[in-house]
Amino acid sequence: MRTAIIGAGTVIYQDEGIGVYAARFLEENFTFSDDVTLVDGGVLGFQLMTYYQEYDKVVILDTITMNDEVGSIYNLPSEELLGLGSYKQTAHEVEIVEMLEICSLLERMADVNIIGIIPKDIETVNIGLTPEMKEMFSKLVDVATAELDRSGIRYKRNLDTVTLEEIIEKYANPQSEFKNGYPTNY
Amino acid sequence: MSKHIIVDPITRIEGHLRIEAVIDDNNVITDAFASSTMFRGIETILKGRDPRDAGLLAMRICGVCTGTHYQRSIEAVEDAFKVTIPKNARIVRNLIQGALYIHDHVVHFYHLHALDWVDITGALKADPKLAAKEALKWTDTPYGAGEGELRAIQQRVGKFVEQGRLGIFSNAYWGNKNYKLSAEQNLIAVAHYLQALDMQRDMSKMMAIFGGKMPHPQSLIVGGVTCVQDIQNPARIEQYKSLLRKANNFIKNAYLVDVLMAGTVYADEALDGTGSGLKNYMSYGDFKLDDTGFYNATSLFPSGVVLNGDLTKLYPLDQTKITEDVSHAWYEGANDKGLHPFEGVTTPKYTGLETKEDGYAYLKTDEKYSWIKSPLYDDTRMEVGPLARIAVGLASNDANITKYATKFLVKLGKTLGLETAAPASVIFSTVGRTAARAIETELMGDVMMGWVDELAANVAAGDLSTWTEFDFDEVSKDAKGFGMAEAPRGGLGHWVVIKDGKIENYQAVVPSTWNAAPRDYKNRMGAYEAALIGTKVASVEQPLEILRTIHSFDPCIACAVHIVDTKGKELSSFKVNTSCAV
Repeated sequence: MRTAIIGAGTVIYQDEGIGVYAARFLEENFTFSDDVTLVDGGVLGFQLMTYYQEYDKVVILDTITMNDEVGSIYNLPSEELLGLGSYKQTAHEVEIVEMLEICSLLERMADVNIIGIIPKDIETVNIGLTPEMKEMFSKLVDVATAELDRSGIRYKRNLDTVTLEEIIEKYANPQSEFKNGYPTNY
Repeated sequence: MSKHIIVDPITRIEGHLRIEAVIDDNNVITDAFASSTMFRGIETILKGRDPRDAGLLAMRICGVCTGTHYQRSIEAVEDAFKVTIPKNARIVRNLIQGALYIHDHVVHFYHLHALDWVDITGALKADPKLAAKEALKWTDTPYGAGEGELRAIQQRVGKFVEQGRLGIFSNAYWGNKNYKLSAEQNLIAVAHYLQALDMQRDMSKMMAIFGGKMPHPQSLIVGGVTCVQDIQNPARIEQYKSLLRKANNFIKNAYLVDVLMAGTVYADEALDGTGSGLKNYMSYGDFKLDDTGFYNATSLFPSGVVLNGDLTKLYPLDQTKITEDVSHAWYEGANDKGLHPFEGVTTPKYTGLETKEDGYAYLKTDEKYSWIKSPLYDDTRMEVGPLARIAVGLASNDANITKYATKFLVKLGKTLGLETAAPASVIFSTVGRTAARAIETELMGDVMMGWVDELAANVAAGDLSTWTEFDFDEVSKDAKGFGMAEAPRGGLGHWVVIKDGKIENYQAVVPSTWNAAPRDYKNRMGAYEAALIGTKVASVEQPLEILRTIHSFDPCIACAVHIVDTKGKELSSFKVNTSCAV
């Protein structure tokens, strides 16, 4: 089963990056079979279509708005997000949900789940997470792996652990990990 | 009595843009205000960083335009370090950006803008047989518009409508009398809307061939590119070419033809200049065609400034004349034309909206009312984007741009029944802005084919160089540079000041800063605002014409938060964690 695990969000807006960190955490700490792709998401927009259309299963890790407490986690099947309709005067912001709508017009679409957490602060310009998100982070990862289990996607936990702190560091100081393949005197 | 229309948010793509328009008793827009309601302030994150990191962080500014910010930022640092990249690197960068252009423009026209011109529900009333005939009126080789294909698509869309599954199209202004295409024309456009969904997937693959991992490419570095293996691999080159051939077929036989068709039907609005606005156009220039160094090289899109729609005069671009005025933006600063980006500061000063008697919150338009600053060029307001690039190209008598623009104007003249080509001034309009984008897409698709061959030939001749060496400690002591080039939606500039190996100041002026900016210190309008003045709105409840004009700029106030909004739907049964521990 071709599977994409997408971490969506913009890491420079504090808790907005939690989905990106979660996908990266899975990538660093688990070994997946070759048909599983981990995507460092950004917002993607239309590029999401490739995944919705060419994969069988898509798991998106993201932040969500919901009338509930900060830190609450939801696992939303895509059908639930279709037809929400209230698009404020046709201003369709073409993102994750809107791409679902668009792709539902096509013949083939992956089984999509959005695993979302209610963030605390998505306005401060900072690469990092609030304490509330840090506390819920391992739970978010557990929900993601549970969804993979449910879908029959196999993976193995690695012996060495890369911590959340280390992952955030990779985004805060990106050059450190991009050395590979660059000229030695760069 | 005048009425106020508020459209918020207006982008079909991420971001938050609000338009307030005032209309008179005849439904004509007499005043307009554009506001971004979301603070960005991304520059602060770059201060104190290693300048070689800037690109990787700058690409996170926007979740959609990642590659463009990445490249601009790297070029700003290269300019500061006085590093000229090798030929292979130059062509690879052109190919990545070129693929972004055609992808962006096709998606913009069909998926973000077409529904302002095309009535989907109208397509259901079409006769597919007549529609296939109609398609042949506009080109001898229509794309995917045979009777059978059109019938199948009509049935598919019909089914969705019956099932109430037109979510993405819900709440559009169907039936508005300012939709002017015939049922058959609507059907052709709807078919291409759906076919473009598949097409854009291929275009997005083209970006990844040399860009590497999408959506966050990693193949560019200060001094060049890292995809040495890819450029030496004939299979990668051939894959790029084959995707480009498919793309060009769609661009020429669907996109350009649909724009010609819509341009003909909506010609009155182009001829009377609806949506023209400022008529001051600026292009930074982009797509270097030789290796004589960054700002010396000839480029596909020339740089320059055109004022008052006068295509007989071209003013050379001088980046020192750019300033950012904050008098109507929610930032600290003097009430004047503002600072050059090298000196720029970004200190928020939010003064909020004002709730009036009707209970609605309005922009305080006499004061500060947007998170976007008002950039000025030589103390003048400017429009940037495809229309500006075409205008500057025509004014500089650029052979390529003149050829592609003329070809379109000649065809338009014919379909309008004129004896000559349509006048170049038709591009100074909302319709023209949309046509300019299609014209440059055709140009781009064609020249890219030549670039791939140029790259392959250069590599075959034994030049494998992809990176120019530099002594970091030496060049980063005290340096200043800018990466100014053309993103698909307009001029994008990154300015960087470097001291002792660290970034001391960083400012990005994005295309939508130019176009979506509020009033300036002299109370002159920004490009969106000016473009709305004088437009007649058919129905106040359905301000279709406002969307049309604003969308024609391809707005992206992105660079922002994109959270999944569940619109208040009851979803508690999908909650995973019980009452949270924090």
